[in-house]
Amino acid sequence: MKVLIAGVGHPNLKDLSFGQIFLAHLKQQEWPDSVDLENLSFGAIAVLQWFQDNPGKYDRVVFVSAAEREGRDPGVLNVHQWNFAPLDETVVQECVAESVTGIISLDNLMMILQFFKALPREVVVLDLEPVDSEIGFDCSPQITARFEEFEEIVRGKVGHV
Amino acid sequence: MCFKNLPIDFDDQGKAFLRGGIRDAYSTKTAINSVGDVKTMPYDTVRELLSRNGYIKDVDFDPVTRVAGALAFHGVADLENRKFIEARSMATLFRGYELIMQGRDPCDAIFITSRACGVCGGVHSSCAALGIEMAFGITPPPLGIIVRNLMLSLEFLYDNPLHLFLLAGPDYSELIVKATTPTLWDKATKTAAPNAEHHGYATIGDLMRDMNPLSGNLYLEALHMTRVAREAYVVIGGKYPHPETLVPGGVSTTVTLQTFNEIYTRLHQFFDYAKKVVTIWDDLTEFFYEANPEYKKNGMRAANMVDFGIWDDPDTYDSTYENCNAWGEKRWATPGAVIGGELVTTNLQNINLGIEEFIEHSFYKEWTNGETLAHPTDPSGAPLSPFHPWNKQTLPSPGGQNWREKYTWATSPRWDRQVFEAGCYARIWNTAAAQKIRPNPFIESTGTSMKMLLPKAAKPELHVEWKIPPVWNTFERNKARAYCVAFTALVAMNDWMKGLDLLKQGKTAVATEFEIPKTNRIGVGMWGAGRGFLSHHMELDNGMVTNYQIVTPSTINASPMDAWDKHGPYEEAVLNTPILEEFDKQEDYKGIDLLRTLRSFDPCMPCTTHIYAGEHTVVREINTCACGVDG
Repeated sequence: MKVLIAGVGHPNLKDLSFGQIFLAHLKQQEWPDSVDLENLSFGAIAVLQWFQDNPGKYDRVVFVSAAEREGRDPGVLNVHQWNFAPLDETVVQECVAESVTGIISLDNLMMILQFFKALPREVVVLDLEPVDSEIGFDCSPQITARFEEFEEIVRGKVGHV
Repeated sequence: MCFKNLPIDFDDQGKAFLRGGIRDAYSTKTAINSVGDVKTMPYDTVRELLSRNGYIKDVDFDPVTRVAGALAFHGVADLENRKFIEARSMATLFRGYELIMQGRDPCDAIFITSRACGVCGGVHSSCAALGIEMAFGITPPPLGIIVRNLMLSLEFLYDNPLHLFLLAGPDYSELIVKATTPTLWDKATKTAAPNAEHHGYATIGDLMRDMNPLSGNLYLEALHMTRVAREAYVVIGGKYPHPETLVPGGVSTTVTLQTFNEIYTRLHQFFDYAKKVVTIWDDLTEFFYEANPEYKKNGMRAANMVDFGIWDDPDTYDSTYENCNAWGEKRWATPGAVIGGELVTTNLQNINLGIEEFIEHSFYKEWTNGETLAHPTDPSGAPLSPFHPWNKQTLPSPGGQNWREKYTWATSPRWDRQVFEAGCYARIWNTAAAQKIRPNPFIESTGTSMKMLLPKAAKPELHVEWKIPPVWNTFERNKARAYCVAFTALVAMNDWMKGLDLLKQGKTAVATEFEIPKTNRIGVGMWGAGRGFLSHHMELDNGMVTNYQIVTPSTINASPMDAWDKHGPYEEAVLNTPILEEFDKQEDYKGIDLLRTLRSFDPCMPCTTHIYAGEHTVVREINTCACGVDG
């Protein structure tokens, strides 16, 4: 079984850049050959085309990212299986328009990848509520201190490979 | 004599001087001679009509585009008389790049200002490089200029199709036309497409069906072509949309025969694609005009447009301001100012002299305050307005929104105090009218048109001709943009051949060495984005940036009313737009005519506005704005 761990997010915004920063941390660790790690922090259409270049290559994808979501406490990491709920095409078109004009967002990416059937059946999302989203190259100390905890979660989601 | 409003005259040698005998020569109290003025109702009259007539409605679009969500539009529609009686364009976020650049190494501008846009960052990089070259006194080697030109072309070949089929295109799709004008859709299904042999669609209805978002073949093909252009771009730019290889004095990439081959395998795909794009937008335009001539009024405004021209001639460009008229006119796209449909100058210096920015309706403070001007003249001694970017300071002043006073973060750039628009169409218009294009196998300007030969690829060669239109409106903007895909691809082909020739001669240098000067210098990048006019004016001292001013096309097009209360281009265009949408009940009104009008300008608000708070700190960009952050 081939697994992809993908980081998604803008750079230099502390915890909002969790997808990129945490992926860099993961890349420094030992992983089986069956696990690829990729920074997919670019336009969702370009990511879609990246997946389309490798059809069926991955059996499972684990996305790591961060977003500010209403009502969620800072530092909370939601881990969930992508549920492939039906999509509103108007919203997908808006996501495409944002994507081709420079927006990098996990939500847009997931909807576009789902709509164009680029995702494998098993998709796990780790979605962090930032503690600090000001300008900065590193995550906040609170989030950085939990990297090993998060890594264990990722290893669990990578599964028995 | 290109200026009708600015107090600038020219002597027998064509040297500009400030007209004598005028007190406070640049006063904004002086009346102007405006071309294409739009008459509107007084604010209080509109409010009164709104309060007592059910068919007069506030229509607010916020955001108009989800591109950063930074453009909102307020209008008042008279649904009974089917017209707009009030229009206000709002940039809802502040751009801080002028402040971010202060005190920095000028070379950083290439990488920092690129982040002003997530669509076309490279144009900001190259514009910054041009300004730095002028300030430093350096010139790239010929191949460096060619590579920079190619990067620009490839960026446009990403940008323009993206707009025509992914952003504006859905407004002309089966899905939207059927929902907003069912009778038009019915007619479309029965109307043969005149250019069927070139684009492959038998009827206009077939064509519209393939423009459906997410599923139409034209939509999906455009998605694919954006990739082709990006692939070619990164061969020389390193990455997209923020290139890594642009430097002052050229590019830092190694260019070989293989580089050129890799570009050509992508570029030649645009020859056939351009044949399709041009003929599709020809057919769509003619269909709407024929179905209802009132569509000619959609987005109509005076043909006032200004462009610096782009794509330098490696044999002429020397980066100096003193010689800018000579190297400007050798650009593949001729610089020009078109006022009322007439080309009034192709002189790069005059275009620069004519630019001013006003802030009467914007959230900024006045910077002139009667103080001595930083630059009363340009480097050639010609007079500069206090409102010229070289004299401007960015002084943000947030406040409450008031339709009569201040309501936007966009400024009001004007040329010779005329409301003008920016777009890639300005460069095709200028070049067609000026007849100054260098001899080449593919492009010919006739004074009233541009003739282009699209070479044989998978399809046979095709001659196409863009003619200067008698009216200027929504449809003509999109159609001209389609022709710009052909124009751009052919310019790229010319540059590609020149680049190969330089390689063959062994002229492989792509960059010039330089030192950052410590003395006071000014420079300007006079360039263009996918959506038109772009300038970066800068002042340097002690090796650092002391002032940096960017004028982007979307700032121009989204500008609010100016010092004379003349509306900006979006506002003018909407006020001239008849409501042709079909609806029985007011609540069914969707606003497609207004949206088509606004989208015809290719609005891209990232380069107009940015989130800013406090001292030089961009505080949040995620999910709301792609600008200023690395893609």
